[in-house]
Amino acid sequence: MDRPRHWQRLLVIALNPAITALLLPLRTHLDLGSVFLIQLVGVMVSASLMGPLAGAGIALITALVTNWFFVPPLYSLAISSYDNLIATLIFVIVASASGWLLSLMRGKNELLLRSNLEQQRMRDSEDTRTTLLASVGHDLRTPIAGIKATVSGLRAGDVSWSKAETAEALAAIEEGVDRLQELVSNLLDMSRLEAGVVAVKFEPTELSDPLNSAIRLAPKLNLRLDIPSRLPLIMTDAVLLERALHNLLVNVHTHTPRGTLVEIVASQANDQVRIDVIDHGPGLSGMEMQGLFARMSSSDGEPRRRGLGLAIVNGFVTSLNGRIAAATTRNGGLTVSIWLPKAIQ
Amino acid sequence: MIAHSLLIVEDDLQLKRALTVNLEARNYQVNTAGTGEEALQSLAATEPDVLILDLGLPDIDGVDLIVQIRQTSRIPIIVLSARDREIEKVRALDAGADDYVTKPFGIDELLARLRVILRRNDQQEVPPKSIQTADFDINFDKLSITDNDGQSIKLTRIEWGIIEFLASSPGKLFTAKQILTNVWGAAYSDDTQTLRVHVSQLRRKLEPEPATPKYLITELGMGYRLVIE
Repeated sequence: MDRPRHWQRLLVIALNPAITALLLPLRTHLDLGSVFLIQLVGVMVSASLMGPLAGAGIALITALVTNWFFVPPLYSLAISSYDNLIATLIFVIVASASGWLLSLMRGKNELLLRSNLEQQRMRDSEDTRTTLLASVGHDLRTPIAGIKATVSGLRAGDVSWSKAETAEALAAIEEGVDRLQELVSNLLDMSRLEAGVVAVKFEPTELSDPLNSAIRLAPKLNLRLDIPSRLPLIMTDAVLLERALHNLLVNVHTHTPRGTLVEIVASQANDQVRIDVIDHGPGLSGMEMQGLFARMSSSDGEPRRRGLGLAIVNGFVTSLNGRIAAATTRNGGLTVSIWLPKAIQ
Repeated sequence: MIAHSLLIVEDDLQLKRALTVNLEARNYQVNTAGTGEEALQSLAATEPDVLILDLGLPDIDGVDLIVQIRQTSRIPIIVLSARDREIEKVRALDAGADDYVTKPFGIDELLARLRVILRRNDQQEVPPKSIQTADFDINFDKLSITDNDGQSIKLTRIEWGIIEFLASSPGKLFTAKQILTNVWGAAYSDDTQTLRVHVSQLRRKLEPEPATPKYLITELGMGYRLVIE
């Protein structure tokens, strides 16, 4: 059970004196049994808030106070009749026991509540995993299907292919293999990160190192860079940041027409460095923008157009203590912004 | 021109066959080995020009094999390794490998690395006396660098040490540890942050666009190379 909060302690301290004070003027009109029953309500409230041990203590104190003010002879702890003695003793027993039961129930309730939350969280993560699996399945199967169809076509004995046709088919196969390789290494990286097998190696890093490496390895884009020469160093893992930026560039390449202008702008934002990757392509609709990084498939189960790639970018950025957001570029297109912690110099 | 001879040490049959077919088609003499043991025997028997070595061998750790080979031979070694084994690659380079190619790779990438290494080998590893690029000229006899207007570029002693070391083998990948040990001394071999700062200053002096360098290239997690087109 949680430790009692401040207001709970105050309430418990004030409750019994308050009830006693209210009952005092009514003393001549009330039967002793009624007085004990009303006090019992107060003790039960206190016990349920403070736990069984405190409840028993409060029951005893309340019994003594009630004895002093209400049980003849008044203003003494002496008890004149067996009836009153029995009433007092039973009050102490009932008050302690009911306090104890109440606090037990409350603990059980909290456990129940917590396990409900736990189950909800597990369901959520299972949902994420299911949708991730769905889009991974799609992204894996598509190139495999392409490769299989092309290779079996090439090997089929009933057609003779021209040199140009063969070259085209082979290029398609290589492209498919590249896509598979990209996806597999992303998945391996992500699962290693999640399993904690790879330690993230934070070091003061010049943005241009991972950025240039990402650009060098990514497909050709019509890029315009705006990196201030006085940009602060980033506290990051250069290799992982390169993976994030690389995936982002591949994503832009896949979803914009060839030759689309893509700007990469870096700037300082308080104690962070901000990197904007601004494309002037077709962009996304408002519906598609929603939950772009979190949810990986749309409601009808089809993988989102840009889902998996960006989810992977998000995974890398999160492991680098960074933040990511997407917005619509002015005059159309998608802008993805990444914030990363600045290195202390 | 005499055909260059290669030894490919790779235990995966499919990859070994693909490499053999492709390299023989480009007039290389190819021998293959599937284990470290076979590699050592073949190395002694055929004396190849270049060794192409897969780090994951069934009988011996690839890095240990490099250490063993380096005790008696200066044969250029290109390492093949999966991308996620960065530490393994750095260990291989520190142990004396000349370059690495990440699996899976395109054959043209391997061919390009081979050409760089063979060109260097044919020049018998004599460091060049001078290097000309579109943006600066380095003269190692006069210890001077000039920009393309003939203006002298002033370098600090450390900066000169770095560029001289990288230029001793243009195109070759040097690990941070190798550069630090050579320029600063063995006691400084872990100080990668200092190296980064000096390389960054060198880029401001030599590169036309320091933010997108084309000469002083960083290989993330590995080291640096000086690329002269």
